[in-house]
Amino acid sequence: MDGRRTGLVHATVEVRTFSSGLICCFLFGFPQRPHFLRFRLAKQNRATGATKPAKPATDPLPPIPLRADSPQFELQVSNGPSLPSPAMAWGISTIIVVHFFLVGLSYFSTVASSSTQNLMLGTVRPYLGITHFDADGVTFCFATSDRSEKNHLLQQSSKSRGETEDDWTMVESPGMVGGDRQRRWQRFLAAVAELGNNEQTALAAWLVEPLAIAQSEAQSIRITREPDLMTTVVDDAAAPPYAAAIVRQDDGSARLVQVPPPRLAAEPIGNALLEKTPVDSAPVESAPVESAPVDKAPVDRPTGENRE
Amino acid sequence: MRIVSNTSDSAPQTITTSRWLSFWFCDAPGGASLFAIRAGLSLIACWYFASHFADAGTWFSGTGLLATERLGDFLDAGDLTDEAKWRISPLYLTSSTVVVRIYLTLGILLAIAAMTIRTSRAPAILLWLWCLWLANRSLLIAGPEELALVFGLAYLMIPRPNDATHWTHVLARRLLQVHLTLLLAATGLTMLSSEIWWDGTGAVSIAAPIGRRVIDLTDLLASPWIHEPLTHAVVIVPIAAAIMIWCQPTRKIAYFSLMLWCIALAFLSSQWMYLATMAVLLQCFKPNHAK
Repeated sequence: MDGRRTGLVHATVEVRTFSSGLICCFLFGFPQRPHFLRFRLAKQNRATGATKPAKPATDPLPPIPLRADSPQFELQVSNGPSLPSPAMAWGISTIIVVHFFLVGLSYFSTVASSSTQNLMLGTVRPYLGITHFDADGVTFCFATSDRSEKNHLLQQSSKSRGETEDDWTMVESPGMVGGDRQRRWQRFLAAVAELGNNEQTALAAWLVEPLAIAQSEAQSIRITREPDLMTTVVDDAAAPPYAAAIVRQDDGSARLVQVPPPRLAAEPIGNALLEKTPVDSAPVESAPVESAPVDKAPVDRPTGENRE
Repeated sequence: MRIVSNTSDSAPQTITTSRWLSFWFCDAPGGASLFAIRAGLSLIACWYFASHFADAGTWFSGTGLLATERLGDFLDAGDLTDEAKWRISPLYLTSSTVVVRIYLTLGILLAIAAMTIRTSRAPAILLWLWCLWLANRSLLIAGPEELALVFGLAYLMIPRPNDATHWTHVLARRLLQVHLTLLLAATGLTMLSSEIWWDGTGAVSIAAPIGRRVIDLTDLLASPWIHEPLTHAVVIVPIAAAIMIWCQPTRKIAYFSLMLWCIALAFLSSQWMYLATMAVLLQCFKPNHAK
């Protein structure tokens, strides 16, 4: 009877220590090893009938530190791992706290950031930028159904303004499908496409110009988004985020002139007047340059009015 | 009780009486596990440098898409200089493809040295700098793989070589664990900001751009009985595991869940390098070595 009562008391104590350990895990972020140790050893004692805790022959769990007020602990520390001085330890842990605060600040501002976050991130940008610890626009969540996550295609046309899909041919992207090289290529095209979407075509032209020069036969260039399972008909029918005609210079450089996206018109498709208008004779070099597009002159540094 | 360390007999230590300090400095040594992580990250660093080799001219040469002068003009024109001026790298000083390729070759050699030389910190420090500078130079084309690789290598240069009992090993492992937890929490919580992770189409959205994927899984994911539970699991695992992995009773299940999470997302998203880096870093939580 006494043995049964003792067992009951032990079980109650074990449950309490186990529960307190679990609560401490959640509150403080790390387990209370001594409590777990006592729980495990008491469980083994009950199974084996031993009165004193016995160390198992093969312990599947990692070594468990002893309580700081136990003599075994002093022995372990004096013969075991070396430790920093308390001043150094507190200094390092202060740096750690500041470091992880800044890293967390950067990581948790990737979706949207408050003005306070922006202010703080702007202040600590030297540290996070130099060490590459900041998130810097990386989306951790793999997908947000944003248009920039679609597969982007670079296409060229031998016409200054490709009208039909047949006029466009795809420029091969480097690397294998799904590989790291192509992933970088996709990030680059997505950045250009996003600039085009935001009507920052002059900035997009800065980036795309070497591609235009490299395609010696091309008269125009564009970036499109590939339809996929998650795009709608409306998405698929949207105008390319970036399209430009290439105006080649004598010195081998090129200027990119934005081709404005087609606008909705009241006239039916196939209008005789439109059909008679030669597409290639459209005043690419005059009208678009003067009216809509924000051009750039890559040969020289752009002047202020060309910038966006 | 005051404990006297064997490192400096004249400086009495009270570190072990503070739970906060003992967490960072007095844990069980994890030298073996850190060596495995260092070897894994070194291999991934080799992969990272090699993947840049073929396109060094395309991106970084004088006529490349990210040539220093062109990039500078672009940042000036876009008023983005403040955002990027702290991305310091010596690679901005060169526009030669040959020099960049020599840099990449040296990076591969450093990765091998960091894996094999265990008597000095120098290879680990140099490898971190090499990766950091290339990541900083890869403006516009860098992604999460650079981020994970650079912070992993940064913490792995802290431990003192040839002394697995030194407190720097404990500190490095703790830094890896806490940083990885932050990354997992940020991943899971930012997922909650998008509707696709609530309506069950997140897994399909990852796999849908098949032009960016090694394996086309869209047919497999067509059934809602597959893609919806998978989506919810992809969201729940990083959030729950970020807490569970710190509790001894749930550590093992959290660890294996995260490994499965990495494998599943690697197949879905084809972000092999990033998820391989995550899987390697997760070794710091491996049940047999971690507290």
